[in-house]
Amino acid sequence: MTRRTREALLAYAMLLPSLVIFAWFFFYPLYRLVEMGLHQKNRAGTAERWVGWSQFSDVLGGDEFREGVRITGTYVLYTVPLGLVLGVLLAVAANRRLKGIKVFQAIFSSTIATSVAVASVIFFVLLNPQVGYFSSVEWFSLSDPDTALRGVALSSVWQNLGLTFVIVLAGLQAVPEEVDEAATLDGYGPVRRFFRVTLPMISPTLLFLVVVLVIFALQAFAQSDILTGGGPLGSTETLVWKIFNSQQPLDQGVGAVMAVGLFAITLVVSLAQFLILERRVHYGN
Amino acid sequence: MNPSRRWLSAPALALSLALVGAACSGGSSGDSGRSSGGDLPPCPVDALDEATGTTEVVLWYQISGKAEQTLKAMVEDYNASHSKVRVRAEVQGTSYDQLLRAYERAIPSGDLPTIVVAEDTATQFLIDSGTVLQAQACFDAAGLDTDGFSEAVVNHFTTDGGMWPGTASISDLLTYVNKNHLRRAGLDPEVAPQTLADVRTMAEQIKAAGVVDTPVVLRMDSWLVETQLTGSKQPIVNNDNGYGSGETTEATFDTDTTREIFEWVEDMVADGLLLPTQATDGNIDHYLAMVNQRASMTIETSTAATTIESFLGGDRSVVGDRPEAAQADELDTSGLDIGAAPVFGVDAAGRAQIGGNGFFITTSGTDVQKAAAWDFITWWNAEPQQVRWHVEGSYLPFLTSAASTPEVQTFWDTTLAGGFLKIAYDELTQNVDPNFSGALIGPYDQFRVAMRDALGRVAFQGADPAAAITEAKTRTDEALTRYNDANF
Amino acid sequence: MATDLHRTTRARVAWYALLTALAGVVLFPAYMTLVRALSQPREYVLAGQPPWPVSPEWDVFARAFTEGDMGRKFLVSAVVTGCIVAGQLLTATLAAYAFTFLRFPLRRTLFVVFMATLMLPIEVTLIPNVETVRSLGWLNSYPGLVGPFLATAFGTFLLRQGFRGIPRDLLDASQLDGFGHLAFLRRVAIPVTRPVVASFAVIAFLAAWNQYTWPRAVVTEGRWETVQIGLKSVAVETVDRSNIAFAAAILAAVPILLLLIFLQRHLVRGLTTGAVKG
Repeated sequence: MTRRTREALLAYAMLLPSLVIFAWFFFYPLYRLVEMGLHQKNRAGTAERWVGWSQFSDVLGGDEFREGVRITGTYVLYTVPLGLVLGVLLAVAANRRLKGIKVFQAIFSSTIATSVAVASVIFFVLLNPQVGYFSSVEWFSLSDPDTALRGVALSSVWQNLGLTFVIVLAGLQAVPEEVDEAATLDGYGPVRRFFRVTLPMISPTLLFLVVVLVIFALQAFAQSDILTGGGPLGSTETLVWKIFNSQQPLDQGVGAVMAVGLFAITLVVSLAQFLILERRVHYGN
Repeated sequence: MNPSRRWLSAPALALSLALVGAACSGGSSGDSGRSSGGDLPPCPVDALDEATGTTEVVLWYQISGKAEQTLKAMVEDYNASHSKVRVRAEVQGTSYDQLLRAYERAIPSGDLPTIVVAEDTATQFLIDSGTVLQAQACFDAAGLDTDGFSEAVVNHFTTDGGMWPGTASISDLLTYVNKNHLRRAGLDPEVAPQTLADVRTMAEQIKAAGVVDTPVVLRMDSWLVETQLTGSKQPIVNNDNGYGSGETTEATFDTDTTREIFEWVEDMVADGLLLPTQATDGNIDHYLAMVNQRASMTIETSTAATTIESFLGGDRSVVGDRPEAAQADELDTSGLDIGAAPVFGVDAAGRAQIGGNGFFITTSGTDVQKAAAWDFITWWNAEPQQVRWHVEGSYLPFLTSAASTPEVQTFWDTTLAGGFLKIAYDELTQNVDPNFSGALIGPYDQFRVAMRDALGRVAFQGADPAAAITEAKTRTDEALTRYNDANF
Repeated sequence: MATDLHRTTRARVAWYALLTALAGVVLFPAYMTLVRALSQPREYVLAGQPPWPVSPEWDVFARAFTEGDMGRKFLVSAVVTGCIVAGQLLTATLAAYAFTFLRFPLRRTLFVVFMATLMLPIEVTLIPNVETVRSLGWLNSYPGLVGPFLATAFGTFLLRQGFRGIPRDLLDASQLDGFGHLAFLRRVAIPVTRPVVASFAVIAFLAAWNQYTWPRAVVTEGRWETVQIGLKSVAVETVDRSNIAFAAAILAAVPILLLLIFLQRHLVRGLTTGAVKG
């Protein structure tokens, strides 16, 4: 056995555990999703029959999936821009040499410690229609179908603050001081400095963050599960919520198709990020 | 460094992998057996006699409040009374719907509980799934008959020649009124509204007298409509309201009665006489509005009786710490005078529809487990338990003799909750037609969602009643088609 | 950093004021939860829901353990998190090493295969994975809770970045001394990249401890609930003593808070590796 062969065998052995897990819990399920999407099970889940690609077209073009996409898309629009702006705001505010700034930095990053479940319970304290501190605020009331999603989104915006802050702060701190000083010497005021110099320099960081936040929003489930149970009148039933609640045999085919739809959306979003980021890297600085 | 040492690293690696694997695979709850399916299997009631040791019976339920506390207490008492059977009660989800979905998901792999306390509306689905025993077989095998039980309830759960659950918890609807509000509006506090027109008249008077802004509060739930249709003998679906031998293929609820109810809701909301509340999981806004005296009358299930009484008696644990409850506390609830009456209807009161749940034994599990489950249910059906489930849990007695025990009679005569429950029980025995107690629908949950959404859209978003009803019918028809389609 | 903005005392005061206001907004939700956790529910509402505790019940956190059964939930979460972190460290370290230091056919392809899994979150693969777990009898069990997360592309990527910083010469020298790859991994590669490994461990811990969707799908028995999905059941079972549910939520965040306080550096480094160039 040559050294090369031994090295290759060793490599495969080292990759094997990961590959087994990936095959079993990532790739096989993808195949199985397509397979399930082509079949329909009976009510008791004891028999399956072929329905073909028409199930894909029926579901992906149907009301339920469209609602799911609309609600999830709205959720993205509610959480991403606001989350980004607030994160930048916090990072810019805390990126300075003041005494005790570390304390503020710690506070601003603290929401990283909260899980979705904890954040949802915390916002339950604030938004619950019966006992909530802000229960009388109509703009994000959880009991009105038109506004409930906003309340749910608020919990995500708050939860994401920590992560957004940490990442943007790191990005700001990576901006060399000379660049800033040069701009000051050129007579740029602080606001202009921010928009003309700082912001472009951290744009890769911001783009990365946009993708992360979008992916989080696409996967939203726990917030609806804990705060509203999908209601009122189904107005907070995100795509993942719908998929989760399609696990019973009769609905598995439909759920599988929706999951494939979600996969496609995630793929497109990630590819878009990859292309934009690559282009930026080539054109920028 | 000794070259031969490097050969140790490979096994060390394998060992650590194995250790991680072993450490993380300890402890599993095991497989509870595959579902045996098949037609109406016999019930092995004697299997428990040969068993040694303790048999565990898993029971899935979704009940809340005082009734849940009572269920858990009763299960503990059963477990403590002997060592042959141990019942483990597991709550699933936060609504009957979630319980049913969890059950559905578990069917293919057979991880079913031994007993499922499912809502009565799930009966047809459970039968079609082939995963529950027809309890009639157990009664027959044990030499018992169902004569001692409420005829209406037995019939409600009977199809294909026999009764399906081994026992049932029954509720029906009552109108609850704030008698003080009636007094202040110059109305007779002992006269409850009988018809929709009555409700409107009384509401107008209460509002005009400046007592409250929206005298009527109602949860926009499907049973508002179901109860009226059933009470006036109108079928909700075809095929003999689901009890026939053919296939149930379409909804038949788009009738004048339904339209009348929807239009009444629309008009009452528009005139500021009705406060509609969302029918979401765990939402008790309508109840709180009554407690806080922001409304004068509502409809609620009879099961709320003991909760209401506890609350009025100062026990806040049943309601929690909601603001309205606390403020009512400030207002001195000894002054809160709540009365109950048969539920008001389109043109007559007391149109009752049976609601509640059934204890179904599933086909998964060993014969010994099934026998153990039957033992528990037999215990549950005995008079002392039936009395307790009524007096503490607020469900109406399934065993008719329980109603005539001194304990229950005293309960009815001397307590507030008892008074309410007596009205509900009379509704059951006098107004429910034993042969027309409700519909048997496979996709009942989807019908309910469709109806609930339709009502919600009319009440909260000003939708047109006729259009809303038509959409509910379309959705229900589609659900039925899909359901029948999937029975292959 | 714009130091010209800090020159005057007035400017500094303004900054501190702004920072304090922002800090207040960020902390407010968690603060209110703490207030409600400590307050006796009814008294608190009667007092008009003030922003401070009313009739404080200091034993509420202990009660979360006794009445809310948080002890068992913490145990389950601890075992699950521990197994996932250990498993991921093991599989990711091995894979990252192979990708960095070994030459073998299909290396690029296999790396793409690894990265492709980033496109398949558990939310997408939920239904078939639950089916798999059910058929293995792994519902309500540690294998079921841990299985799908024993390998990680993100971790592999992170550790590979770390390993790439090790000069090839070190490997060649160690091989001349007669050491194999595994020895090199153990004696050189891991110690040298300890900061990266630590960062990854912290992130893995965070992600595993905070999981919701997967445990929610595979747990149907109360005693197998993790802390996160247990928050919901605690809330339902203590509706008359809601302060216990809020206390449980705070307890759920404590391990991560501790992690943040002591290991913040590692966390930040790990998170920003992908975000910031250089």
